[in-house]
Parts: sequence; C-alpha cells; structure tokens
Amino acid sequence: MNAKVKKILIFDDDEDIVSICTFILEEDGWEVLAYEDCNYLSERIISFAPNVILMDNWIPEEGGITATRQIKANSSLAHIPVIYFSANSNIETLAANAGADLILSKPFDLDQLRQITTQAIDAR
Amino acid sequence: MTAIVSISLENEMDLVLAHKRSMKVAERLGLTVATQTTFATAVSEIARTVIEHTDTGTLEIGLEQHTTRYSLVATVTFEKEIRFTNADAGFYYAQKLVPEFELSESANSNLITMKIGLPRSLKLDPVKINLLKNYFEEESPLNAYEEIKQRNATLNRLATEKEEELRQSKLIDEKKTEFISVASHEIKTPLTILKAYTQLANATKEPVSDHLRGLLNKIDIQSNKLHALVQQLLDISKIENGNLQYNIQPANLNEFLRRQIAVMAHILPHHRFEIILGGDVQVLIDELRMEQVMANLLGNAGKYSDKNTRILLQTMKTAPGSVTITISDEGRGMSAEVMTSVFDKFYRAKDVIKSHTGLGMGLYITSKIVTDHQGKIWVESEEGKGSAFCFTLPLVIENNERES
Repeated sequence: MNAKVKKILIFDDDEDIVSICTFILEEDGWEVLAYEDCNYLSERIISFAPNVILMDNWIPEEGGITATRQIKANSSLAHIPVIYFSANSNIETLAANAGADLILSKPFDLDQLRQITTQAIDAR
Repeated sequence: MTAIVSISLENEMDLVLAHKRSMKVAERLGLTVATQTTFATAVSEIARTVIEHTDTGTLEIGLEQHTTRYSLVATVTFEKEIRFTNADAGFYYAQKLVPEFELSESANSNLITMKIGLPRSLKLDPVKINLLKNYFEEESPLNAYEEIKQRNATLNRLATEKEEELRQSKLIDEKKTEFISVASHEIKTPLTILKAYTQLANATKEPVSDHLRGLLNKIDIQSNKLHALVQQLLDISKIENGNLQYNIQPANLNEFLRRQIAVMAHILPHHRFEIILGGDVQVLIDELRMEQVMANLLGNAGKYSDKNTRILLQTMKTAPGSVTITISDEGRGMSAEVMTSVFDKFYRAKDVIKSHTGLGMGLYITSKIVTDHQGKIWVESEEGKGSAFCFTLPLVIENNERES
C-alpha cells in the first residue's frame, strides 16, 4: 500500500451527508468509499483497507453500535480508528458503548470534519 | 336487591353501626319493635362472627321484591377461606332468629343472606324505597366513629383519584419529553446538510458574487440560529429527564466574564457595555453551561432594550462563600406579575409575544443551570426603566476552608 494514500470508509445511509463528506475529504486528499448499510462489514473493510472509519449511529441493518463492536472485536480490524457520527444528543454515551475512538456530532462544521479525520489518522 | 345501607365490617365499632343501622332501617319501614330487634340482633350476630375472623367483610341491608311482596334482606360477604359451623355461636343463633337464612359459596367469596318477609300493609313501592335510600344516604353519621370512617373513605377515594391523575400527567410528560428528543434529532439531520451545503457553496473555487456570498452568509446565520433553538429544546428534554450533566471546574470569574462580554459585544454592537467587577474570585462552574447563562442574560438585556442604551455587568461578594453577578439593562422592564413567572418553562410575557420572537426556553434553562450550580437567581425590575437579573455562584476558596 502506498503510504501517502489515506483512505476513509464511510458508513452512512444519508446520500447528502455522504456526498458532502466525500467532497470535503477528497479535497483534503482522502480516498473515500461509502456504503449505505453495514452488511458484509468485515469483508468490505478488509478489501478497502481504510485508515479511518466514519460510522453513523443509525445505519441499517444492525446500527452503528453493533457494527463498531464487531470491528473492535475483530483483531485484524480493531486497530482502525472509528469516528462515531450522530445527531443524537447522547452521542458520547453511544460512542463509549460502541467502543468508538472519536466522535463527530451532527450538525458539524466542515472544518470539524477535516480536523477529526486528521486527528484520527495522526493518532494511529 | 336494592341496597339501602352498606357497612364495611372492620372492627367491633362496626358492630355498633351494624346494629343501629339495622334497627333504623326496620324502624323506617314501619316494622314492630320486636321485629326491628330480631332483625338487628341477627345482623349483628353474623357481623360479630365475621369480624372475629376477618376485617374485610361487608354488610348490606336492602329490599328485595318477590312478585307483589317485599322482603327485608341483609347480606354479609366475606373471604371464601372462612367457613362457619354451628360451633360458631353467633352463626348458630342468627339462623334461629330470621325466617330465611342461606349460606352460599362462590368462586371469590362466601355470602350469608338473611330475609324477613314484609307485610303488604306496609304498601312498599319503588318510590318509597328510593326515598328510604336517599334518607340513609343523607343521614348524618351515627357517632364519631362513623364520621371518621366516612371521612376516611372519602379521603381514600380522593387519594386514589389524585394518584391516577398524577400517573396520567407523568405519562403525558414522559411522552412529551420523548417527542422533543426525537423531534430535535430529526430536525438536526437536515440542518446538518443545510449547513454543510452552505459552507460548501461558500468555499467553492468558482466565482461567487458579493451579493450571492451575502445570501449564503444569511442562510448560514439562520441555520446556526435554528441549531441553537434545537439545542435548547434538547436541553429542556435533558432537564426533564434529569440528564443535564455538568463538568464543574474552578475558574477565574472576572476573566471568564470579560470573555463573555467580548463575545456579546460583537453580537450586540449597538449597545454600550459597562463592567464593574469586584475583587477577583475563583468559582466552581461548568464553563460551557455558564457561557449559555451569560449569553442568555446578556442577550435578553439587549433584546428587550433600545439601541444605544447601557448594559451593565456587576459582581459583588455578598453572602460569605458566594458572589453575586448582576446584569442590568435600561430597557422596557417588566411588571410584578411577569417577574413571578419569567423563569417558568415556555413562559412569555403577553406584551412581548408579538413584538419579540422567542419560545420561552432561555430563562428556564438559565435558572436551571444556576440552581444546579448551587446558586440562586432572581430579577429586580421596574416597568419602563429596566431589569436587573442577578444570580449567585459559590466560591472555591470558602469551600476549601470549610472542608479543611
């Protein structure tokens, strides 16, 4: 893998959110891939090999908490930082429950999105 | 049977009632004294036997029609586990007294029925029976015990009604809180997108005219306002759920207040801010929440006063261990009536509903935050002259001294 390429995998079922995030992150030099559900979770993550995962709380089918737990329970994926993404007011609790590494609450400023993704990749 | 009298059989005092009431019913019907006594004795014998075994029995005295004749009837119900035999003296004796005596067992309870046929000469009819019923309903208590018993029953009924009302209103309240929480979440999602597209449009490399940029800024400002409102709604639902959490840290009060004034002076550029701060003190606050309080109080001061008037921020160490922060304006002020409700949830004074927008959430949240900081909040105001909102905060140093 080219060390200079930074990859982010987005799990969010809102088309607009995905298109905004894709636009901003690609501008920031990220390679972006998005799914609107979290089926075939580990297969998708392994095949794309992202540096960072952005996970929405209300993602079909099982939801962000279950999906994040599955990632963190899988020893080959657990090292990938997960940014928990939600408009829920108790996002901190949800993220802690899920075992996510960082949070991004909606609504967010585009700068916040840039910051948190950079922070996620630097923290590794 | 048409019941005339009903008595719960709880203790010996009820025996007296049972006896007296039986006598009275028989007397009002026009029966002879001998029959009155016989009936009353039978009733009280059974009542006594039941009371010896349980305190949940019930006695009813009433009238029953058989074709053209009426019978005077007394029934006593009690728990089905209780079985009487002729060894129970009262049970045995009562059977001898009344012409008809029956013990029947049902799934839930046992029932003793005693009947005395009434002579046709009494000329009973439904109207007379109804009058009799009313007479006993309205009759004053026989003794202090019955009076207490009646009051007790009334209180019990009221208490049950109140409990039910309370349960209902709690349920509605919970539903409302849940609704606010879900609705705010649903509003936040499109808001996120609206804000993000605005920022994207603003940041585009394509040429944007100044006019268009101005419009984009307006959209951005309004979506921020909308976000703040949604945030307030969420705060309210958190307050209701008891989920408002604080990260309390010691902070330098004067420095904190100067920062708040600097921010608000930008937002309210047409007002004159004046600061008179007392000696610097350390307070225990959640800075983010306290910023909300200051933004609300200073914002209100600006909102309800004219341009080019003064907004004054003062601090003063009043009571030991606490500092009072006062925000005064030279605005419209408020009446005594408004002052009593101004911190209530969703309250808006009648005279500002049309002239000033708002949902009546700000001061409610502010007062909640202040009291959660162990502080007090109040308002002093004179109509047409201005308002002063004051609140106290506990000091750090005094707290430490008390602990050591």
